[in-house]
Amino acid sequence: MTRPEIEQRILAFLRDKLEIDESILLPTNELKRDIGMSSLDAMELSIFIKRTFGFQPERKDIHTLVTLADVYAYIEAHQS
Amino acid sequence: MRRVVVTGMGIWSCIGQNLHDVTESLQHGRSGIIFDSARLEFGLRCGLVGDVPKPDLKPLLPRKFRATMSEDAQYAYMAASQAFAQSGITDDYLRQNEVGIIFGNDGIVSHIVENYTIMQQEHDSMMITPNALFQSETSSVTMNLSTIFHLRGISMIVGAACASSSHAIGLGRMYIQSGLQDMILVGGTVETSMLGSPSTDAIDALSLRNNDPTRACRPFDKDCDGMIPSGGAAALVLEDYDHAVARGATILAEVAGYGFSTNGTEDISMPNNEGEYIAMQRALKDACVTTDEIDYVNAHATSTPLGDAEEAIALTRLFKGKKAWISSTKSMTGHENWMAGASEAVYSILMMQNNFIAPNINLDQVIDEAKDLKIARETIYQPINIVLSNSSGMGGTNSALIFRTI
Repeated sequence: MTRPEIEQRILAFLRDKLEIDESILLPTNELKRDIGMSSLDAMELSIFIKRTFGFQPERKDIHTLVTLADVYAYIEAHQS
Repeated sequence: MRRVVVTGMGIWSCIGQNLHDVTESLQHGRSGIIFDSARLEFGLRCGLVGDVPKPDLKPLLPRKFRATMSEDAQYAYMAASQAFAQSGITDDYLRQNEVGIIFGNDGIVSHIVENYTIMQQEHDSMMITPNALFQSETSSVTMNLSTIFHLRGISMIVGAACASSSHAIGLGRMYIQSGLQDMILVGGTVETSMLGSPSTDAIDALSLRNNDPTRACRPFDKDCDGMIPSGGAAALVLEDYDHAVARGATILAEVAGYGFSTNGTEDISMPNNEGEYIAMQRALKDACVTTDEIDYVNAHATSTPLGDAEEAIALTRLFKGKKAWISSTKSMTGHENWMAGASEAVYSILMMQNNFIAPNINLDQVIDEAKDLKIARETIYQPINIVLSNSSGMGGTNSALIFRTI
């Protein structure tokens, strides 16, 4: 997928599945501090990534991603 | 010893999802049982079930709370919210005071099956939702409710088959009596998912009267042919009497007595009148009341030939020739399993508050063992001051509670 497609899919997941207010889903915002994602939410994101982008993220990687932009870049680098 | 009272109640059941509607259903003898063809298609022989609506929690709770809740926990949240509201317990109160929680629950099947299905398909535990853990343990209810309501006292689940939540009330009372806690939310909850029914269906315990749902549950009737799975949740706020008076709470009833026993016989599925007799007698002694003083007995009677007969023998030993009216509200609700002790406590206290005895519907021909009992076939209007609520479960566990007006 292209970067815009990745962003679109991730934003839809965060908005619809995790019910996060779209106005705070900015690339530079931090997942925990600004967006309010918990460790359980990060694991849900990991499952979504496997289903949508075809690769299984390492759990340790998921927990080291800081910003939303980091998530996009990680998927872009690892997608099959 | 401190006295323990009920200052709030909540209910989410097949005969109503608030105290008012449930009172109406009890008074008018309305059944909450329906036929669900999906159950037969699934492979069950019994297609009957209590019609319990799923609550819409989205307007009530943020996703972070909803995501980890089992079906049981969702029902329990609705019942607990009602109970705290009736008791005048606010979020501020819960943040500033230590309140405990003891619920009856003896198994959550649906989420375990869902996880197993994912494992069969994916062969990868990383594909199991992280919320699964908090949905599939029997303590899902206390885990979730403690988090939502900021509960910081005792928190535990009581697993004792269909007497679970009756024991939960008894134990909650003991914690308050002893002075260890001033207030505890007690209750019981059970899922209605068909995934929870195969094992009960397999031992011929469920009714096959699929063509007559509202007439199918027939406690103490010669034509009863099995119980009907049902569920939801019931919750009660238990409180030290002086504590309740000091904060100006309305007292709904006193939990005046608790009795228990276990049959100890070698047949794990057989009920036993002696065990039930001992539990009820112990509750009477604990409450310092005699059988002459009991106005109403809410029987456990589930509409199984063996269970109803054994309970009728125990009840006859205690109440033959006495004034006590007897009925099984399961005739309307079906068997609410681990919720039954708590829901029947709520039903009994509603009857006390509204001066009526709910009928044991569908009783056409009484079984021989119950012929000397005063079973209420129609609604009876009279004051009720003291109630005995009887419960028992597979494996021979028995529990009896006595509630008194105050």
